[in-house]
Amino acid sequence: MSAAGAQRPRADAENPADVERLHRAIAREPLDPLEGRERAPWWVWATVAAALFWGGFYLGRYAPSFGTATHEAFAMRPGEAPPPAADAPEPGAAAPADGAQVYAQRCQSCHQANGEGMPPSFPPLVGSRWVTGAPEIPVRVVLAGLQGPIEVRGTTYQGAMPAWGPLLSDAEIAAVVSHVRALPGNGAPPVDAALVARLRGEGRTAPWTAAELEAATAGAAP
Amino acid sequence: MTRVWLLLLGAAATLGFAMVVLVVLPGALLVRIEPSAGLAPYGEREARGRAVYIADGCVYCHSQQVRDPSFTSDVDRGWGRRASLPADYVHDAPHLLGTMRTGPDLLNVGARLPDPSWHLIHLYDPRAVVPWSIMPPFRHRFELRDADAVGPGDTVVPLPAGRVPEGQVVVAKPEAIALVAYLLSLRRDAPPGAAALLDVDSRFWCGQGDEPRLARRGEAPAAETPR
Amino acid sequence: MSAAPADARREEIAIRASADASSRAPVLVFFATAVAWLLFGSLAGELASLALHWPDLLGFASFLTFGRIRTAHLNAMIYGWASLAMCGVSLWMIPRLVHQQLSWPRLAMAGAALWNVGLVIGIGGILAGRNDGLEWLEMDRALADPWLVAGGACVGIPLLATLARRTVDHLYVSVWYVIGAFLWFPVLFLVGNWPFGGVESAAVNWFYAHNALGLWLTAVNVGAAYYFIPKVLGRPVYSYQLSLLGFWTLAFFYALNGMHHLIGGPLPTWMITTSIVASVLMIIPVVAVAVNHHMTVVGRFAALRYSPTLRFVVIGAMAYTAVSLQGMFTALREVNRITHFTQWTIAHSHVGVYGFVTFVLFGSMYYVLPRLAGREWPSARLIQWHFWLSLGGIGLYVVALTVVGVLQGLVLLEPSAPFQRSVEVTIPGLYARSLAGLVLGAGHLLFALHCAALLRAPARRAMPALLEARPVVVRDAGAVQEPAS
Repeated sequence: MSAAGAQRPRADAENPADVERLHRAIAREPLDPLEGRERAPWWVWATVAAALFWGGFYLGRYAPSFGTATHEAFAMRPGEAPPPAADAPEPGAAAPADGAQVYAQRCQSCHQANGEGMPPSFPPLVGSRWVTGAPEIPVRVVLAGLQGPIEVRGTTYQGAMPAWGPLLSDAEIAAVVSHVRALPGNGAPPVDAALVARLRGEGRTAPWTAAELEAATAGAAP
Repeated sequence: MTRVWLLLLGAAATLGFAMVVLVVLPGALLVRIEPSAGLAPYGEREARGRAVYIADGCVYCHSQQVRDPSFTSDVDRGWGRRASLPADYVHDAPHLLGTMRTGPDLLNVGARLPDPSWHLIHLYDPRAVVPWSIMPPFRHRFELRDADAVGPGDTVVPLPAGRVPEGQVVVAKPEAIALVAYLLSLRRDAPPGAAALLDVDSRFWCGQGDEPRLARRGEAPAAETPR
Repeated sequence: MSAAPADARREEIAIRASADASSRAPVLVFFATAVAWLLFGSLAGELASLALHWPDLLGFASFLTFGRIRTAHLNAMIYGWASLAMCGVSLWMIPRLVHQQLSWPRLAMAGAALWNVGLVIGIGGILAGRNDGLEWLEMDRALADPWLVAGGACVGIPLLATLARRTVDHLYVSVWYVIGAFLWFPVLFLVGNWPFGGVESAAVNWFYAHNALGLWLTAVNVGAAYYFIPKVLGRPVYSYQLSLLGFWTLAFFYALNGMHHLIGGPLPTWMITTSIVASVLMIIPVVAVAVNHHMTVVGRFAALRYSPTLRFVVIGAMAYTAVSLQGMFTALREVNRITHFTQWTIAHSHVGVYGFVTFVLFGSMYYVLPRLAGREWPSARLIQWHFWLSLGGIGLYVVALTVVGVLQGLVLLEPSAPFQRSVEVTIPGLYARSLAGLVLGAGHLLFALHCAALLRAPARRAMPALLEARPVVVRDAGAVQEPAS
């Protein structure tokens, strides 16, 4: 075999140019491939059987119904009930909230990570008397939003703050307002969820204006 | 194999079976889905914005699906209050579920970031508001103009100082406004009542002049399906 | 077989020569345009890669926006490079395998022209902002897709006509895959473009996109590997039984795989579970094909040192096994919750479309082009460079994005980790990917120049361009004799 291979170059080099030279590569080839008659190894069939068995098990375990139900059997622990589908649970009924985390998720895009805001659109939270003054003010702004002109640290901003009341729990609002009031340079005391609950109970849903905030908070204890 | 007909028939049968399972049966099941509560068809402007979303390829970095909380952290991350359902997508054609999260999920971005001026700044110059962002700027959806060439109907993007050449302003083209309107309409999990509160109208709009730039959801003219 | 009578051997050569002569013109056109799209796609991919870590770089032009240039890259590579080259390989293999001249070669030439017109319109449209909005189906369904359908028909019909006039009785395994692919793909393309709405649109989208990979790209290239591996080695394929098992289980299970792109998404659970099961059961065809190929090569791995075709195709076949096993595990919910939506997926798809499909196509072209041109490749060194640039480039690409993809997925699973971190952990991988793209692009440029040199330069080399000085030693000694000797 190797002898044939080794001799080939010489034969090739001496081959004169002719019609067949164009087909040199074609002529050099081995025959077109054929199919061997070997049998598949036994372990291939074992793999097939195991895979099919596993597939049947998985299909039965994770496809409990044939319909339009989604997110069925997605729980990582067997036997866990599927989570409620259509109706959402009450906002954040769960555990104690992390103010920094809420801030990063909800506030940071506009007011920036350091709380300095972004003039001329987004007012700073650091050094703002609206934040560090009476605790009712920031809680009310977070609950129902704010619109219209508002002066912060000498600059007038056109307020367009959304209402977070419907999306955040009392605990989350208390946590995030406390986080903002405690930012370096603010140093204001935290607020508790009871205050948030009380102000939420007032039922205001329309966004506040700066003047309304001052008026509503004038009577309240600082 | 020596029979061509057997090859062709077998090949057609395997694909046909898969099509029945994954296309025909789901089609028959899903056609009966009703839209989820409060989900209105896209208004004309939102539909145009959706076409811009598709044309500029937003879907290649942003998904629009909230996955199950027992399976992922999507809900904990604040991307939605519940996993999304087929009923949330009945007006979507084509779907924009996406396969990448190079950027965050956008299914409820209208609830998370309801300020149109934020979106305009972010689309023109992402790093002006999100310093670590790797989103491309969509400057072709905006115009750079001299500050004195702004008309009363123009929407000026309130960029921070230093982000635009001195004496010039950035004006949003209609496509940019439509795209923002679409993004703000993405609220698929707001509880009843919240939708009204979060509705965007002219009071949130930062353009000059009184003309509302964004139609109130549900008030828009009859739905137009995006291309 | 070495004792085969000389006239039988001459007849065999005459059949091959006649088959090759009939398919020569269309195959050359398909290959040439495929290589042009490969270069365009490489450029588009590199620009898209740069845009991800230097996001303001391309902000000056709308058509260079990441969402458009990335999509142009995908379409140029799948429908330009891979599909055109696959049409070329198919048009070349089928006449040889059925011992008949290609029917209507001019129709196939017209198919190449139509397909390319469709690509220019479709990809130009994507860059201009005309996008159908479905992944893998972005090209305009009114303006571009009809050209592609017509072009595809102009390739499929001659192939079927050639098959109908075959002069062999037995259909070799490569024929099954190629003919299956040309039957499946048009059906898939029509279904995929049907304007569904709601989550059904997502189901059909991924039904199409996964099958474009499984029943089009994979089918033709597995078929090509089944041809070139035993062909170069001069051995039969190991087991007909495994060929049958592999083909029919691939056809059955691959077609059901698509919903694994939507795990956790808002689709009926049973659909997703069905696709997960089908994805895992892909182990059957993958093992069958891998064993079949491995047992064909076994004992002859040294031949990879000499034959460019064998080296590219065998590595492509190994990548097929690897990418399929990786895909199986990625489809499992426990893995998918980490890897879904991350750069892992991008790495995975490049193992498939580059490591497997593109390598097999490179190997095929290294075999086919000299036979059609009647000349040998001018430079073995260029082939070496191309091979190592391709292998090194894809290796770096896959390792970098796989690693950062896992990191990204772990950050995304951690609710208290800010999203910012999931972006930041990917940045080193994104830089590495741009570097890998340059390496791959350099290889493609060398390959394109080499092709041009082969087709244009006068024949200088009398011997095949083998990667080392010794020729491949083939078992069938009779086969290596020159006809004149």
